[in-house]
Amino acid sequence: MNTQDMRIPRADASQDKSAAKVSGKARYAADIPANGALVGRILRAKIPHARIVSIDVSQALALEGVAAVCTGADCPAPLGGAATEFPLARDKARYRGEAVAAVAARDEATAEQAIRLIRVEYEKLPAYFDAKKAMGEGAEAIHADKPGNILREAHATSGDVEAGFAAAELTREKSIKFGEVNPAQLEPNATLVEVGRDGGLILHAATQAPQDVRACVAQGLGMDEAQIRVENAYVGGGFGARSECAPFEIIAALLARKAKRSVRLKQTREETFLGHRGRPETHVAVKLGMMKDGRFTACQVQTTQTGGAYASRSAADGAAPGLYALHARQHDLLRACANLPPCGGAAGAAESIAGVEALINEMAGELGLDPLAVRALNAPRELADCLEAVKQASGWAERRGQTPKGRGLGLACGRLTEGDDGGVAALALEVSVDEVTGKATAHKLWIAAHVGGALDPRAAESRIRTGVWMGLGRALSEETRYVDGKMLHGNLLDYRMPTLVESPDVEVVVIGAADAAPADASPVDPRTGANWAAGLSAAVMPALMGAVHEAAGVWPHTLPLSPDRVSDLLDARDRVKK
Amino acid sequence: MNALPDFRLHRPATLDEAVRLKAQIEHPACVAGGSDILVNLRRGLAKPGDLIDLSGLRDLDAIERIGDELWIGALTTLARLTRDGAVAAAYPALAEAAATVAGPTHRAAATLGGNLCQDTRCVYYNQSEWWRDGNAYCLKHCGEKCHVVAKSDRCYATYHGDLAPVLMALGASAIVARAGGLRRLPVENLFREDGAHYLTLAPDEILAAIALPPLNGRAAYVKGRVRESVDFPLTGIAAALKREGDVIAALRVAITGMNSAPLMVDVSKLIGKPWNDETATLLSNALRSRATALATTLAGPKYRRRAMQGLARRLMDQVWAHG
Repeated sequence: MNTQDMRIPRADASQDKSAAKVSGKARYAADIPANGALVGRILRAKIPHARIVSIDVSQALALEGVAAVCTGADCPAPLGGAATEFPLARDKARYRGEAVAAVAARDEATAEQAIRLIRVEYEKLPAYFDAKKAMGEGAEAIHADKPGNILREAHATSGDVEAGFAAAELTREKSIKFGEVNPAQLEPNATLVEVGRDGGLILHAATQAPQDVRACVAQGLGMDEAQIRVENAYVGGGFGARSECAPFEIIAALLARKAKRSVRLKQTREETFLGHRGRPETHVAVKLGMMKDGRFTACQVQTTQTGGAYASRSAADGAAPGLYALHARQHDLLRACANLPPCGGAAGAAESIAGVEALINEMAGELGLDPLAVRALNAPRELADCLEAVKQASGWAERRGQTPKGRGLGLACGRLTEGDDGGVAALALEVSVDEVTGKATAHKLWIAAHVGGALDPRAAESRIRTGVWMGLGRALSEETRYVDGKMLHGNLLDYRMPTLVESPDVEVVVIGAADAAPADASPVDPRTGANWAAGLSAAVMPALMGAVHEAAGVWPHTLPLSPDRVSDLLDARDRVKK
Repeated sequence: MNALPDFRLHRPATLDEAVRLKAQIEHPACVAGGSDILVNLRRGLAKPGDLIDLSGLRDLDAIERIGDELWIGALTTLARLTRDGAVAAAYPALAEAAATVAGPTHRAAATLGGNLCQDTRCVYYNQSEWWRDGNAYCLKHCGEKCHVVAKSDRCYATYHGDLAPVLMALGASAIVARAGGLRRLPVENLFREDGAHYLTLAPDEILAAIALPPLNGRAAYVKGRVRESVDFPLTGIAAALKREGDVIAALRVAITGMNSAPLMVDVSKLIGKPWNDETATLLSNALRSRATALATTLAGPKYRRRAMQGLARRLMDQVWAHG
């Protein structure tokens, strides 16, 4: 996907779309009428890692009402040219839930029955659900071309890190675990594929990347792109799940072409969760050197991600740009491949920044310094402007250390996007901690962002607000949970996104926005299609950690800070006191 | 979303007809608001040949005073419970508990009877057919094995209703319709501590109403959960206290979200004593010996036990202060 493709005018259209969405008039891919369309359904692997010995579809094909059955044999082209992932598994199934076969039938019951008639013979292989085990000695390679199950590795050093630490008056280390998060887009995955008289295909897709869907479907089916039209209806959220073609779009097209009839492939909430492409579980080990006045001397970050069996193709490069004017920096990234649903391309830059920010708060506390002043001392101009704006808006100088018992104020900085070229932001967050339930509640958030580009300030403010709310989800309650690779969180009850009740008042100061925005201004990063949520979550999480420390006297190390985790921290604190 | 399984839908117009149908049909399921059973049917957790839609039984959605009791029909929606004048005046704890259930759209459809009779829950049960098939099913449905308690001979799925503990603390009765008339039993006797067979209703019986005695004292409910809306209780405690001067004259405490049934807690040791650290410890011990939180929810049992203890103390502080 190139930059040109992403520059679709959308500033003017956004108003109309909002009205259609809130009034219920918007038609999503699953709502588009299609009389006589066949029902598509996917057979998914029930074991997390296995060699596919054989697939017998004869009984399914013989069932009355079944129009087409597809397997990996129908699509030898890897998804979007990626080396390892196929729309339908070919030689191996690498996570529980991977698509192995698909059927198109006259109705849902027949499709379901046909799925049950497909016989797949597997040869079970050892499965890994965390980075350490996946990269352990003698572990079975999940992909033949990735020995040691290392999906990605990146190393970047600048300046003399060793000398920086030697010069430091205080050096501290901290390890933080960030839970895996799912995009959890509200609209379940759905595609309607119509077959034209000329054999061409029309896809009604829930996607933010119609050009990529067209290219990938063409590639997957060995068709000319001109024979494929992609209509994207309204999109009910993406957050990384819809920024490139997903396997099911190609599966739907394969079924329609084989059946020579329209096929509607609707997925359940559980299947939508299985599609994943969110952020993987990430361990960050940070080491920071500081002078007694708060100047940074060196920073070292080691990031380890438990990636999925596959990853998005639009992967970030792995470099974690720092926020501060600090030359001596080292960053090492390791992403392991595990037998879990495919994750997104993010290389942990947000988590790395969050780890550093959390440690800055702890070290400032240890040195008796104001964490805002420490940051201002090290910040480049734009970030210093944000810090000053947050200081004013939040009444930081008067409030800090003055919050009532059980309440605290936290602060942190972040980038709007994960790359080097986005804007920066600083935020303060007021939080209370309930000692009985262990619940941390965010009451008020002040954020100042330097958006650094031609953007409509209102659109920027709205993006910042939603980004902050998403960050609070990661900080407070959202995380995926598996037992032996079996997804336990595949519904909106157990995957706990904050509701409006949990969403605090957010005060936004936008710095550096142009007054007049061009028609094609989009607050979406044209390079990755990402919005600002990931970057902002990097600031929300450490700010929450700092606020929880001021409220309850504990330094968290695992996120999200759900009530059970906070309770454990409180109990550990009380045991020490006794 | 998965399609519903095929079933014959019955829409009785009267309670007598509904009872007759329920007695005639083998393994029928009942639906009122549908917020619990429809989700389960779509997940393949039951395949009833017949579904009896109770929503047409007009006589079951009344709230009326009968003698010194307030009768609330089983079809009363939770939304109505939250705003009904008679309920709010006499039993504010019930209105408040109803307001904590799920979200506004659920409460608009969900009924009192359905909330009480809602299915027990477990992370190994509330999953799709595909998921459970890949996990060899479980003792509650289609399987031989409990994944929560290995080698167990009964299901440990947890009861998560919010209204049952409040009604139990208030000393309410369940009015059950059956062939030949009504029978009456304490609300706590509607339940059995077995996750797979958690209701004591006979095959030909339908929960028709709840009868609430006058409240002599003060009652309250507290619910522990991660999010302040949508979530089921990870633990819930209801208390009804009659305070006379500086002693606890009468006290009823019930819990939910911990066991396979909502349970009364034996608080007899607290009666005649003031509410203080000593009686708080007695309550804590009574709760601990009654509650058996197990790994049926994503938040672990240790957390649920901790929150139950702390919230119960907070709840008692509150009713004692206002009693």
